Amino acid sequence: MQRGHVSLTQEVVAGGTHVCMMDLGLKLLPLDHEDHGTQRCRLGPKAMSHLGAKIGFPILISLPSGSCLCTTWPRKDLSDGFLQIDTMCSTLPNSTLDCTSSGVCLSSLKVLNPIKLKKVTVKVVLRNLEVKLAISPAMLHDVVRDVLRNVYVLPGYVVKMTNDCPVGIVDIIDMDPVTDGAGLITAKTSVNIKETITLEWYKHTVDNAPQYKIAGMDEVFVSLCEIIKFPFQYQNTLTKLGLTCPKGLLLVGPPGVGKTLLVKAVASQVGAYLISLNGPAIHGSRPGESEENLRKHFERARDISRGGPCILFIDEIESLCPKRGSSSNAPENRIVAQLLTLMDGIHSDNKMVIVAASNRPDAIDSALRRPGRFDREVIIGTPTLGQRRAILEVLISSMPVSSDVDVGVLADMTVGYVGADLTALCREAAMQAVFQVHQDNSDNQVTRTHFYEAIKKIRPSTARSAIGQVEFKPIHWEQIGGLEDVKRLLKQCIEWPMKYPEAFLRMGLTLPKGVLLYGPPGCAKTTLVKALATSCHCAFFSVSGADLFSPYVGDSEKTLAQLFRQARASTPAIVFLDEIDAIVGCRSEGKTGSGVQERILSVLLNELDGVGLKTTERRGKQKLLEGSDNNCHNEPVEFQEVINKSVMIVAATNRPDVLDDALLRPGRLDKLLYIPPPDEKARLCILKICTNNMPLHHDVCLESLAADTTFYSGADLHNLCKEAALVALQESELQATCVKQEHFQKALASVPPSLKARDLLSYKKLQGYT
Amino acid sequence: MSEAAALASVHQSFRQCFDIIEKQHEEWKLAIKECDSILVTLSNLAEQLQACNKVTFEKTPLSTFTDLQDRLYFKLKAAMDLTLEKLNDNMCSVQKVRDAVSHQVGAVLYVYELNMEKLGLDASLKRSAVSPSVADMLEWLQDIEKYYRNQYIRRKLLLQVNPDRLSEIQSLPRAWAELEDKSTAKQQLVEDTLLGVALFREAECEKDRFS
Repeated sequence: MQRGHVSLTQEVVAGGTHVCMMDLGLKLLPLDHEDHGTQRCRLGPKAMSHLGAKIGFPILISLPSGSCLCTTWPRKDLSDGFLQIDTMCSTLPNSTLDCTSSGVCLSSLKVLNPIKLKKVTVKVVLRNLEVKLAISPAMLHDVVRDVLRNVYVLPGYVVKMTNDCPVGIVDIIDMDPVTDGAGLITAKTSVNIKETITLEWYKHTVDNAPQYKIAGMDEVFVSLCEIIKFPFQYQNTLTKLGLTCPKGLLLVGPPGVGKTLLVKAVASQVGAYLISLNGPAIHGSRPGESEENLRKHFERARDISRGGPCILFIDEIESLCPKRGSSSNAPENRIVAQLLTLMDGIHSDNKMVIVAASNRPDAIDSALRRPGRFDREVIIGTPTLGQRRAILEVLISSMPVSSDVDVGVLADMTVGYVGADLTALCREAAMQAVFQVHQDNSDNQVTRTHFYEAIKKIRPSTARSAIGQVEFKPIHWEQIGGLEDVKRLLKQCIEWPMKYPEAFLRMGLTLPKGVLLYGPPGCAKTTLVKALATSCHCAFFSVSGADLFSPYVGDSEKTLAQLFRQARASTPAIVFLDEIDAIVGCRSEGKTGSGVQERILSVLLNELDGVGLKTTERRGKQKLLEGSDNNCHNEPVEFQEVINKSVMIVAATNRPDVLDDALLRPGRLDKLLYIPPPDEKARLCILKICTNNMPLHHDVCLESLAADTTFYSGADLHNLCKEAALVALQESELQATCVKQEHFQKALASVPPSLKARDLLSYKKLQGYT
Repeated sequence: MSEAAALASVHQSFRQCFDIIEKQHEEWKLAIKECDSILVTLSNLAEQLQACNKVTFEKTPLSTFTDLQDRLYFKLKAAMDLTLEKLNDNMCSVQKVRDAVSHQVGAVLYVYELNMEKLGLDASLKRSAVSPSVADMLEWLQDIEKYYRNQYIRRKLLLQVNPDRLSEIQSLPRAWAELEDKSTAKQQLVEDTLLGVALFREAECEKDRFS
């Protein structure tokens, strides 16, 4: 051995390169066919003598992808510089070695001392389920002993067998005695089989790498975990009680809230095998093919469920199982019937759970929605403030976020966003950051401005197909002259509860359901609402008769109901009904109650003050449902959600006398705000605002103008200013540089006031009446 | 003890081992062949049993013999049990071969381990016209030992069928033969190895005679 070492060193020096022998690379070659499954590695004699390796003795080879325990054997042709490895006992994830990589360094080979083992604990992975069922425990023990005989092992290593052996993989969990050396399993070693699983399961557990993060769905998550774990944990109790476990679960919720993700997360949490089933995989072209596919999938799930918990996940079940009555489609009906029978048939074993997801639960055949098939229905609604906050925290946790990003504020701003939208938002913000870093080499962090930019781009997906989504030029309170009382009242009704929920809680206040703004035309009712929508950051829907009315019977009512459904999905929200008198009208004595307006009125009344919500619209926890909101006084965040859960209606009209009395009672449009025509002070204010951009001659006296313009509404005053400017231009033939008092006087003569004393009196009467 | 003496003792143990393997292999072949015919018998019996289960004697002229079906069934079962017992005996002798070879190979390895230090790596790798190197022979012995163990457990697994599953029993001879076919390359392993070491063994024999 010593001699070999000397000659080697000489050779290297003679070659002209002063490289240490340890750094020399061995070229990795593919294994000879006959060496498969022998745990041999082939080395050249010089490398062997350099390492001090003995023939047939263990050697540990460390490769970049894992390490490998082999026995040392010389190459048949005794040539040096090559290495062939049989990966029978290794920590490598897959059995094929990448021989194209650069060579293996000699220093990554290490000779180990052989130790005869007394005991070894293993996990056995059988090739398939048939083998597992057929083989008896004693025989299995014999087989495992036999395949492990004369094999060197280390704890944590995996022994892979050749293809024709019933045992696929043996996982070495523990060995006794534990030493630095390699353990040799002899005839005297006792083999302890801790666990027997099938190869399919083993692969599933090994490559179960992606960890799904979910947030804001803790309650649903726990209950889902329970359903799946139950049959395993309390098997004896359940059989004693003669119970069958719930096996079906229907997840209902709007698109993008994370139904599919939830199922995946639960599956990886409880270690269940997830089989997904979707329409395209089932439907076949030939008659009967679809049913056959369905049966096949169920059969597979049943096989796997014998080895452990298994979830059969049917995504978008409404496409697979539409209502049978409505569609006169025979093949689809057959599929539904087949699914029903298969679901009833799974009662024989308790280990398979069927989870279905849908965003249109009404379209599913009703026969599926009963105990025994889908026992439970879990509704996942649009996330509430707290849930959004939790989701954002999870999403942001993996991003380099600068300290000025406040998750609470972001959650506050993202009203109506579902999980998918929030993910898109974070991605967009990150993209913004990337662009910015690309342009100017600032530090690599996502800041608040990036998020705000992203919010502008990403709109909530619930709003994509919404009715009543409007865009308008933001208007601030200061841009409206006068009306200080009205502004204050509006702020009280709408802004305060959103900004100071604690104060409302302290005083035991509840919100008004709706606000009616009435007053003569042109007195800034609509502008007030715009300012309101600008100042409070909430969803704003605006509808007019054009959105609602349609030639089809029932369509208008449906649209209105849908509007409210959307508004509720993104609470806090304001629904603005302009010119409400034209939309709803009055159920007066003279008319019969069959007109469109009456029907819309009844829908509106119901939405404002109905018995409750549809169950599918549930959001957050169940106790947050309407009518039971007094339970949680402790957490301000939760309380804020409770306060803000309602939809506020703001209606505007200039004919309050034609409105139905039922609409005006407290609990519906309970706050009636009279928008009076501007008084002198207000007129001055309005004139100032209107002439703000106008070059005025110094002789212009706005005060006197304001005094002269009784019965002029805001719109009239605006028009007056415009007219005056036009007169000025006309007189000087487009050369005017300023507007003089005389121009105003001329305009005043040509523009009469639109308000009349009689009208105002009638409004006054109504105000006194309410 | 010098290097030559160590080599001599290792070579001697090799020769003994190969002698025993040659003898054991004959026994192995004999036992396997016997198993072949027993399995054919077994499959025939299974077929008869199956037929006996299927047929309704009431419709045949044999209906006068009232409990004929039961009697036949009993007889066939008894015959099957007897055959299985014979098979078991044969498997025992197969197992004996396996154990003997394992034991012998273990002994050789032990001798090699004892002399390894003195022998040195170069000597272990040296081949000559008549004798393969020690490393080669060790490898062959390991392969042979593994082959016997593998074959035995494979065949034993095959025979673990449920006696009630008659169709499986019927297909046993084919599966048994397939097992042989599948490992044709390895089936020759023992014979090939013995051929490879024939000159070595002769030389060793002569050495013995001279000494």
